[in-house]
Amino acid sequence: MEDLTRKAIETALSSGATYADMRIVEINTQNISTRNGKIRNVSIDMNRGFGVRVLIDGAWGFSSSCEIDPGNIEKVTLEAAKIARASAKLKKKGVKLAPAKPIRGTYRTPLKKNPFEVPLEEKVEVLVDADKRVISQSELLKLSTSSMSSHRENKVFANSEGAYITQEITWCGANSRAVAVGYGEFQDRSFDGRNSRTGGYEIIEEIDLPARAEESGKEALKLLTAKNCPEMTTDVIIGGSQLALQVHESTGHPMELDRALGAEAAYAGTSFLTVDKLDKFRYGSKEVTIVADATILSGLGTFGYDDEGVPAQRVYLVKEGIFTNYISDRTFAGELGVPSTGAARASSWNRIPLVRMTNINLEPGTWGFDELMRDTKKGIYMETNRSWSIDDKRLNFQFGTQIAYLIENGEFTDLIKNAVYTGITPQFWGSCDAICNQRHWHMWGTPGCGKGQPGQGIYVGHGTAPARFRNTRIFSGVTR
Amino acid sequence: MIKGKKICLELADKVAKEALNLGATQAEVRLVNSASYLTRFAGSAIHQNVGEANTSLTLRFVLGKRVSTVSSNDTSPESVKSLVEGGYGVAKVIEEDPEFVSLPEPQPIKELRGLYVKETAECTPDNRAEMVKALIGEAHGLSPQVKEVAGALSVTSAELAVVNSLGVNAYSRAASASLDTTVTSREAGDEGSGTAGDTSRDIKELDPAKIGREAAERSTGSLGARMIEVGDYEVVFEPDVVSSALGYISSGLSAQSYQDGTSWMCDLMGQEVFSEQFTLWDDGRDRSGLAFPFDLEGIPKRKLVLIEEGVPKAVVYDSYTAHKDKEKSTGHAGGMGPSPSHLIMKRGDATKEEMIAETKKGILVTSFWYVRTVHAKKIIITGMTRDGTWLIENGEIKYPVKNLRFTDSLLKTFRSLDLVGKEGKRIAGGFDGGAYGGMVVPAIKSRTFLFTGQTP
Repeated sequence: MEDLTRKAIETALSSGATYADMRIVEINTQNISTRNGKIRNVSIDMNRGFGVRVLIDGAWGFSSSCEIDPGNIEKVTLEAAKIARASAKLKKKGVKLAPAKPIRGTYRTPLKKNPFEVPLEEKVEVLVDADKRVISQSELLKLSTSSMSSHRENKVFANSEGAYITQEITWCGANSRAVAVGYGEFQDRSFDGRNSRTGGYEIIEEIDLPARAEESGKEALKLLTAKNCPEMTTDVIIGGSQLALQVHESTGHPMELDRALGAEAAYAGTSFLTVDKLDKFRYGSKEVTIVADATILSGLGTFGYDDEGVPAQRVYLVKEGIFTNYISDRTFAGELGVPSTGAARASSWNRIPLVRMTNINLEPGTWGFDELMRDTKKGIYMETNRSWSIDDKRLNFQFGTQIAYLIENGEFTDLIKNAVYTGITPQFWGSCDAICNQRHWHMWGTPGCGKGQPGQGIYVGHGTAPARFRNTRIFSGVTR
Repeated sequence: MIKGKKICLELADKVAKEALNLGATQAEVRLVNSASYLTRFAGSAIHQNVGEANTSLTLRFVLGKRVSTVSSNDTSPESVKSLVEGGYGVAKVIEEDPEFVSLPEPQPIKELRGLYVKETAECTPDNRAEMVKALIGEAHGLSPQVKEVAGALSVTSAELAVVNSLGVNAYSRAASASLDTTVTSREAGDEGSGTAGDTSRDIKELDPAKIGREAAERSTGSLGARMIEVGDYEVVFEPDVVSSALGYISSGLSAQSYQDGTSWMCDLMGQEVFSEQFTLWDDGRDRSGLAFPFDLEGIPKRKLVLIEEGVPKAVVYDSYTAHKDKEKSTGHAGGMGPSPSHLIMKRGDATKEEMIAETKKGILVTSFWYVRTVHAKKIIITGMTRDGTWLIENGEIKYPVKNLRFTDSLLKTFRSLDLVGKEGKRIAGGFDGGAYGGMVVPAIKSRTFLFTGQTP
């Protein structure tokens, strides 16, 4: 492969590039899905190609193709150079990349069981069992869907500074969804994609999907006749899976440096965390410490090097409530005059690296879950996302959950459906007064975080434990 | 780079034949070949500028009632062989799907000419930079309050070939271009934003200066936004908002969700659900939209009325869901089951100005942002307004308001329609930059919409 990357880089440099990099990527995926115990789809995909990024006169150009041969590499690189020269005609200031040591390295996701070598029949059996354990419970359980994904990405990165890195990232996940239909509505419970992690098939074996699906079916049935969520301002304990999405939307995205500097203004939006707030803004209570950690074992956003060849890092974004750092790449860190935090990630060969989340983790607190419950006189416990929405500056959010329980005097009372909570990001995190301890802390995944034009879906992770937020507004998403 | 009809169909046919040779009882091959370019700008400068050429093959390998799907973007003979073997390898070990009946039988497809506009497909990086420059210049020229112009110009040329062993043999090519911008204005510590955009098969129809001016006017007009009391208001929705809302209504128009019992239509088919001013159909052959002659199974597009004068009339089918209901595919096979692809909402006779004049106390909304379903059966959605929200009182725009959160049922909102716009706006949808579909929608006025929060 090194002869191919050399070809691109030499072509770029001889075209006037001051910097160039090339990525050759092959992604293999296997997705299996079932509906009501029958196979609905088995799809296997192989997608490979290369992308060349060149910097000419301080402006970027990128081109890519699925045909990996020396002649086409030269052609595509020349096209990238032509695009860069067009960009340079409408630039304000030239790109100054944050420095990065050129590394020759390799990384492979640690795993026990190659998911692509597990017999298909074995995987299908797990999914069919999961569905059957749902639909056999009641005629009201009209639908059970289960799915399993295996993903392997082999990539080569080389740049004109001398870096040459090969990586093999593998991740797996399994989901199930039970839908109960009756009384003029439907309620669903799922064991969702947030259970994906880097690693091998052992991740899916650990999940025990059929048992989880069976439980989901029971809960979906009960939800049909559950009470609607009352409207009030109360203390909310948010379960780990839902809190992972809360971290994703209200912490991860606004801390992307490209958003803060306006690069996503027309699409994903900007950020309320403007650069003047760095190191002084109180983002949350002193209980709240959040890291971006691409090094943690098994996180869905774990890798060896980012797609600019910068080593994986663990960086404090929020320390005891104070906003301390952004997630960044070399382009935007260079604009701010700080080092890259190693978060440049591209979804495939045909996309440029953007500033993306890695594993954005809420550090565990000190509370046991039972202790937290006992300490909560009146409130609600909410878990598993059903709907999510947040504004373009990442301030005003509203999340609905699949299931909730009212809490009175430290105990769960009524089962609640259609529960929604809403808030403003810094006030909400400022109201966090208790986070459960390491025993309750879990690495969740978000396999399809979207960003950019053209769109890129990327896999990121979030470590969370259940946490309590005081005086949060809740209501029913249906009775309004 | 366009390969052309002959090459695409021959390659797809070759893959299908190899599948049959390996024992497939039926086979379907879809070939997508595309070249896409996107020039992105922010801070009034180009910051991302990308190109991509890709060809992908997707094979449905059918072995009786066992169906596997395999895909690859390597079209070399060795890779094709491996693709077909992969399809067979999966199909032979999986369980039968009792609901699978057959791939679709061929139906005659009338060609749609003029979808591939050479000037669009051959637009160069320099051409794109010039268009972006014109847009940015116009926006800044409107007012010194305009501080930052961001957006994207995307250009796609694509060809789609679908072949199956029952005789489907469909090919078409198309090009499309979209230009969208968001303009940020600032004055005395205050910030406003406005958006505008357009899409067409012919890039010459895009007017960068007009788009820049329109967004800049909205942006400067948004300065000085105030907080208001949240609650129920009359609303005037610009076409982009209507497009977003129809996306959520249309998810229930899929035969899949109807069969599952999760569609809002399940108990409402044939009933008066919406205002009689609401008529919605799907027509892939209507050139006022981004027409395309067939779906991903090679079944021809035709006009299908889905909601007529407020009454739900039909759902869209692919071959799988059609067989289940003993119906025929309506030509709406998508990547993930059947879905509407070329929605057109019937226009009324009102101008935007007339809608505003008819509003006693309401909100004018330019764009929705981050919309999600809260309750699918009642089509309750939540989201935020963005890039231009104004309070209307006694028939006049009073002042801009800060972005509002809404949580409300679209069943209610479209039941309360009282005016529909006379102009239709074309909005790109689907994959590959709208090469294969989109919507045509007017502005609307509704008597009720619930705003539940506001960003300070």
